[in-house]
This record gives sequence, C-alpha cells and structure tokens, in this order.
Amino acid sequence: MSEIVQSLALGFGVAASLSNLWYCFLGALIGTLIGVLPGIGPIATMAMLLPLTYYLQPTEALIMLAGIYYGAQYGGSTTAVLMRLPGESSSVVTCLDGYAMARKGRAGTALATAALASFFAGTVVTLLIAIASPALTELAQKFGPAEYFSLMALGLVAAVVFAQGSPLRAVGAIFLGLLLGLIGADVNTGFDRFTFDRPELRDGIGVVVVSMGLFGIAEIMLNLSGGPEGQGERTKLSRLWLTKEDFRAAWPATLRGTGLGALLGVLPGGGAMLGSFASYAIEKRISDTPERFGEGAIEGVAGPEAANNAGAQSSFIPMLALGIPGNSVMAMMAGAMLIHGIAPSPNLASTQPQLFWGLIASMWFGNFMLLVINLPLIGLWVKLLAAPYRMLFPAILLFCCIGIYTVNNSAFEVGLVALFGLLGVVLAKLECPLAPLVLAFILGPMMEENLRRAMLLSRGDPSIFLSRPISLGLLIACALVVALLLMPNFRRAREAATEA
Amino acid sequence: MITPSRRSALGLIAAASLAALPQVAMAQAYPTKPVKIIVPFAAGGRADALARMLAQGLQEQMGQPFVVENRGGASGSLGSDLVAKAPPDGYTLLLASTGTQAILPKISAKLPYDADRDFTPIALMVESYSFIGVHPGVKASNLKEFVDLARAKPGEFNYASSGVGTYNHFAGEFFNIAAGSKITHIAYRGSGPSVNDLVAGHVQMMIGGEFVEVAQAGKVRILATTNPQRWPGLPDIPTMKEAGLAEFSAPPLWFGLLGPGGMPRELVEKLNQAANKAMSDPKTVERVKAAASIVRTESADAFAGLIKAEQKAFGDVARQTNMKFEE
Amino acid sequence: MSPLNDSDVRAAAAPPETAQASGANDILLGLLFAAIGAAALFIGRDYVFGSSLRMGPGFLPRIVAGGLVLLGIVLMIRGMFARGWAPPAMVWRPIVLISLAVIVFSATIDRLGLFVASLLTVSIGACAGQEVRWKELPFVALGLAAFCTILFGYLLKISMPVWPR
Repeated sequence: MSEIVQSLALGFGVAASLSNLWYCFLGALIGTLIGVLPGIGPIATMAMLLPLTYYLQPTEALIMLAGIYYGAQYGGSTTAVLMRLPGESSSVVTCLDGYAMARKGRAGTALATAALASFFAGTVVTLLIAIASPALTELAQKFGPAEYFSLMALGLVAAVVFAQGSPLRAVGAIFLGLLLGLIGADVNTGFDRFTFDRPELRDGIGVVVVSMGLFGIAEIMLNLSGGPEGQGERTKLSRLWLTKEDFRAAWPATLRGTGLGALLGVLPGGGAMLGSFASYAIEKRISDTPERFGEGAIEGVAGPEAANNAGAQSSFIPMLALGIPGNSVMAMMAGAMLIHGIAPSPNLASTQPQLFWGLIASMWFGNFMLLVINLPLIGLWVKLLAAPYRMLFPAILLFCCIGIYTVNNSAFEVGLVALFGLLGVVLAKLECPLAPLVLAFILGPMMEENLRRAMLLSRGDPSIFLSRPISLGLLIACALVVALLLMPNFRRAREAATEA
Repeated sequence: MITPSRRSALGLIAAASLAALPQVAMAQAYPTKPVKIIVPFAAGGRADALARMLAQGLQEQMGQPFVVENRGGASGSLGSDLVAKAPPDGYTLLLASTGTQAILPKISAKLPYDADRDFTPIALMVESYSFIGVHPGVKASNLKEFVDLARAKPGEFNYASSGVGTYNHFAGEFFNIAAGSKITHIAYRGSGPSVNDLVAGHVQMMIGGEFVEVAQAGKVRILATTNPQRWPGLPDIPTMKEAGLAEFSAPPLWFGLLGPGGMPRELVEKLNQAANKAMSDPKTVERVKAAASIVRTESADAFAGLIKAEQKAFGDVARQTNMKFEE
Repeated sequence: MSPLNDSDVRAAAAPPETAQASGANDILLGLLFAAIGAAALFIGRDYVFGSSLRMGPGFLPRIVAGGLVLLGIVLMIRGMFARGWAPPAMVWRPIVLISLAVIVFSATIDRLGLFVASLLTVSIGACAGQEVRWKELPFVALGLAAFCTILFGYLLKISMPVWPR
C-alpha cells in the first residue's frame, strides 16, 4: 500500500509541474472545444494534434493527448444534450434523456449533471487505476471469445429494455441494427458482405455515421416538420444547477455508472462504449418510475455519463498494465509513445515511472480542469440554444457534414449520413425505438466475430459457452432477462407504465 | 524477337529519355509547394509513426512542409488508390508496407489499381522484425520442440493474426508449410486483441513484432526471429535457420516510400537520397529501434527488386493455401 | 405471446392519437422490416452458410435477415388487428431538402473544397425551414461558410480541400 502512495506521490509531483499542468489544461480545453463540434470525436482530434506532440517531451505529449481524449468525450455529451448530436457512440445514450431534459428547459441541469458525474467517475477510476490495475487486467484476461459472446448476447437482450412502448418493435430494431452491422468484410474470412462493391464499405459503416444520421440529422428533419411555432421550440430555461431532488436521484446512478463503466472499460475492443448503454438499461430497470426515462430522467444522464467517463479512463488499464492498446484511442496513445521511441510494455511502470505515474495523476488534474472549464461554459451553451432555430439548424447541419468528413476524409460517408437521416425520420415516425438499433449495430459484429472465433477454438463444440464459468453466468443472466420480459405480469405492468 | 514486356520496357525508356530534359529542371526545383504523404492506415499505428518521422526529416532538408494524411480503410487499398491516381510529380507520396504492395495484390481481385504499374518505389525505410511467440503455458522451450509438438498434435494449436490477409496471417501459413504442421488460424480485428488473447492463452502462437515488449516481461515466450538475421535488441534469440527450420521462407515485413507510377528518375533519386538521409538521423534510428525494427537505406532499384521478389513469395503461399478475400 | 392481446392493451391504455396511429404504424414498420430483410436475403443468397465448426460469412446474415422478415410479418399481422388506421403524417419538404443538402456536401467537398461546399449546403439546407427569410439567407450562408473555412481550414488545419481545384 505504501508503495502505491509513494508512486502516486511521484505521479502527482510530475503532473503538478508547471509545464505538465499547462499541457493537461490545454488538452482538456482543446478536447472540450473540438469535442463540442459534432462528429469530430476524440480520435479525429488526437490524430490532428499528434504531429504537434512530436515537439513535446513524451510525458507532456501523453498528458495532453489523454486530456484531449476525455475532454472530447465530455464535449461530445454537450452536443448530445443540446442538439441530440452524439459526437461519438458513447454519447448516444445521453441523447435520450439529456436532450429530453434540454427540451424541457433543463439543459443547464443536464450539463451540470454530466460534468459532476464525469468528474466523480474520473476521480474514482484514477484511484482504481493506481490500486487495482493488475487485478482488473487479470479479470480482463479471463475474457476469451466465449465470454465475449455471452456478454454481447446479454447486451442485446438487455437492449429491449431501451424500448419505449412495444417490445416487438424494439426486437425489430435490434435485428435491423444487427443486419447493418454485418455490412463490410467478414473478419474471419475477409469475404465482402453487402458492400455493393464499394471499397469504402469494406471496413463497415462507422458508428458515428449511423448515430449522427439517426439522431442528429433526423432530429433536424423532424424539428422542421413541425408547425412553424414548434420549430425546435424549447421551454425557456430555468436554472443551471441541480436541485436537492436532482442530487438525490443522480447520486446513486452516478455510483452505479462508475462501477459499471470501470469494469466494462477494462475489456479490450470496445468495452468502454458498452458502459453507458449498460448503465442506462440498469437505471431504467431498477427505477420505480421507468416511464420517466426518455422524458428527461436525470438518472438517465448521470449514470451513463459516469459510466462513459469511467470506461474511457479504465480503458487505459490494459495499455498501462500490459502494453496492449485495447481500442483505437489507446492505439493512438501507443503511436504517440512510439514517435518518442518508447514502446508500450508491461514494464512501463518500472522503466518509465515518471511517465507512467505522471500520466495517471494527470488524469485527476484533467478531470478537475474539465469541471472548471465546463461549469462556466454551461451558461454559454444554454444561451446558444436561445438563438432562433432557423439560424441554428443550418449551422448544426454544416458541422455534421464537416465532422463526418474529417473522421476518414471520406465524402462517401457524408452521403451515407443523409441515408441514415432518412431512415431515422421514417423509424421515428413509425414509433420504432432507435437506441436498441445503435446498440445492436455496435454489438452485432463483435458478437459474430467472437461466436465464430469461439466455435473455431472449440473445434465446433458449442458446449464451450456452458463449460466456462463466466460465460455460463452471463448466459444465465441472459435467460433471466428474457424470462422477465416474457412474464405476463411484468410485461403488462411495464407496458401500462410506458404507455401511460 | 521482341516479347511484349520487352517492347513496353523499350517504349518506357524512349519516353523517359524524350521527357528527360524538363524533368531534370523540375527535379532540381522540387519541391516548390507542400508535399502530401498518404498513410493508408488509421493514425497512431506503426506506419503513421514512421511517416511522421520521415516527414519531419524531409521537411528539414527540403524546406517545404511534408504533410502526413491518414486515409485508412480496406486494408490500405483506399489510401493507395489515391496515390495511384495522383500525378507523378512528387507532391503525393505513399507510405506503403509489405501488406499493401506485396500481399494485397495477391489476395484481392478487386483492387482499383495495378500494384506494379501504378507505383514507383522510392525508398525502403524500415525492416521490421517478426518473431514466433508462444504462450508461456505451451510445453516447448525452443523452436524445435514446438515444431515437434505441433506435428505430433495436429489441430490442437491455434495462431492469432490481426486479420485475414495480414502479415501475421501469411507468416503463420509460411510456418505451417515449412513445419508441416496444422495450426489453426484465428483472425482478430487488429493487433491489440490478438496479442491480448495470446497473452491470455486463448490462442497459443503468433508470428509478428507486436508482442516483443510483452515477451520481455515474460508474458509471451519468443522462440525465434523470422528475419534472416538476429535482432540487435534481442541478440540471444536465434533465427529460424539457426533454430532448425531453414525451410521457413517468409520475407521480412518492411515499410517504405512510394510514389505514383512513372515518376521521373531524377525526382526518385532526389527523394531516395533525402529519405535515406532522414532515416539515418541517429534520433530516428533510435526511435525505430523501439518498435522492433531497423532502418534500411537502399537504392530505389534495390527496393523495387525486393518488392518483386516478395510478391512472388506471397503469391506462391496464397495459391498453395487458397487464401483470397473473395471466396 | 398474442399480438392481438398486446395491441388491445395498448389501445386501451394509450391516448387516442397514438392508438389511431399504431395500427398503420405496425403495418408500415412491418413492411419496411420485411422488405429490408428480403432484400438482404436476396443480395446474400450466394454467401457461404458453412457449418457449426466453420461458420461461413453467410451464417449470421441469413439468420438475421430471416428474423427481420419474420418480425416484419408478425408486426403486419398485429397491425391488421389493431384499431387505428391513420398513417403518420410526413412533411416531405424538410426531409428532401436536408438530405439533398448533405448529399450536395458529399458530392462537392472533394472537388470544390470546404468553402463552396459549405455555401451550397447551408443555402439548400436553410430552404428546408418553414419560414425562409430570403434576405437573411445569403448572409447566413456566407457567414457560416467563411467561419468554417477559417476555423477548420486555417486555425485547426484539418487536412481537407479548402478551395476548388
């Protein structure tokens, strides 16, 4: 224990140096500002600034990049709340209740909730990284293809919980999402599926393209379809802070979201983005008043936002503890290390203690700075909403287009966004829930990959899913959720609740 | 008798000498505006890091900005296509690899460009070292034991790759052919997840350079390097030949600079020298070493010859194992 | 799992407007699902299905597309037994114009650059509003295009074409 205290002290010493604090602040600020531009998520931002870090000390560079990462994550939630534009996949969930709150004049409260929940999660996970990295890494290592498959299956079943109204439509949305996720070259054989001979489709459609179209562009179309008085009309804002009741409702959700996000974030390959979905599903499930979800429930913002930030931070664990970048953002961090001639490795803590602990400590500073940067900005963002919608929507539209283009410099993907905008409007008009679709779109490819990988590894024996304890446990949880959904009592109560 | 290929070669020479004069002048003035180096992979990877080091060096020598642009997608063919279709004036360059130049053309029938005609090799920058790594739980302390084990238990082991048709995948098949083993290929999405499952023991073997650091911490056991020489960073690790599997013939993985097809000779020479100088900078040499690689400075012709030889080697294995994207 | 029962509960519990719309919505949504699923089945008819050991690239597509068709049919049947018949009102003007604006951006950005593409996109998109102020429009379009060109092209230096080539 004293060793950890010592190491953390070293880290805080490094991170608190003037230049490191400056780059931490700079990263958080740039991340926030660019993250607010829809579409330009952390990856595009980090890629943009990667050449700049060439001129910095390695520790400064990594601290700044990390700051950009969680800053952009945060900025993405801002647009999700204000304009229903998910800057990235993990803010899709924030669109649901955050935007609903904004429409009810509680944008300030929603943003403050997101900031506080994120800060709390960030603080806790910083400590967690320092204390429990080895243990969490060990847990993540137990997750083989079979466990992943079972986890994804549980995620899909839980997606029905996102449904508002008829579960049958939610199941349809899940299947449609799965089908869209299949587009692209099959990972196991390299065979092209549904690519219409477009090389751009070989890697599949980006999550940002799908969610930006279904939520962002579709929302503009829907807003403009209303009467002239209904154009993006919102109740005038009331307050920027949380009431006592808000705090009481948001607090436990934040706690649960932090735990969930931290755990899922450790899993390599996209675990981080599952956290926000999982947190929302759980909050809605255990709430006494699930009908408020989708109508501006504060737990639906606090939980997922905490999970989102916790996951973002705990996704550093595999890279810091093992030297294996678990997702594309971490790959970028590893790339930044390579530029400076440092190879990410399991020995990083002993070979580069200054960098290792400095980076960890800087995360706490970064989260604190984000809070300091963002709380005053909330007033500004909310004022932005007061601008007439006829001026606002062309700007949102343009930012969307530019944002999507910058992800891969692909004009083709911008065109796809139009298609998904259209699909989003049609589905919304037909009362088909969109969140299950996006979740299935994300989970589907991972599920298929791991299913086929597991079957290859077991040489075609499906009992692999039952003989491994973690996998079995997850599948039992799956069965329980299905049973709950099919139980007539529960269903009637649920429908009466959601339809009322 | 003039064969078609010789005739076209003669034609090329004639065309080149006719156009030579203004091109010399052009090459001398080059560059007069910013140069784009296209990386056909996402930002943050090895190719990206190399491109940025190179851009930095070229910029210092030539006084014009060298801008790195990431155009990832479709195993590198999207970015490569941009360069293939660009004018050969030296203002659009490609940071290519074994994957884009030697492997992809052999397994994908739908490439929008001709991998030979549409590119001019400029400079071989880096040779990356690959290793045979096994999970520490595998009961083999050297390559020979592992080969015996794999032969004795066909179908029991698996090897990981970062995707179908990647270098890891091919290296694994080269191994199966050389050792006469049947190790099952398991494809992952990128190198992170594949190394993760190797460390966790869900798969038992992988050939690549991605796990060197992890191996130094004892999480993976390295049996041999698949390059022709030992890696200076791990001098105790034998080559395949030294370890008793001389039949293994996978060419090493490289990264290099290419331009669009038909670039004038003078321009190629100028860029080749500048790139070689940039890569020889001691700081760059050190940085390259951190990623289990060494800097290689060769002439443009030697580079072109190397690509040709590799295409043949990979093409043979692709045929033998029936490996291609479109089933 | 009786679809009839399900919609009865809905119709009884829900306010009148939604109840009216739901029958038609179920039918239309079912139709959409079934059509997409059928198209996927058709496009993927040659994808190798494989076995449980070596699942082919066609394994999941067929199951998912088949499931989508099935769900579509169930939804359509449920819709036919429901009471409401009013299809949702679609206002096509904003939908068409916003889509068009995005498509124009995608078609022009590579060749004409950020400034021109922004100008066109904003001009077309702004027409989607229900009250278009023609005097205001050129200023909004020019202002936004200039702002984005300076911000992205010069301040952030994002590598994208800024001017026509």
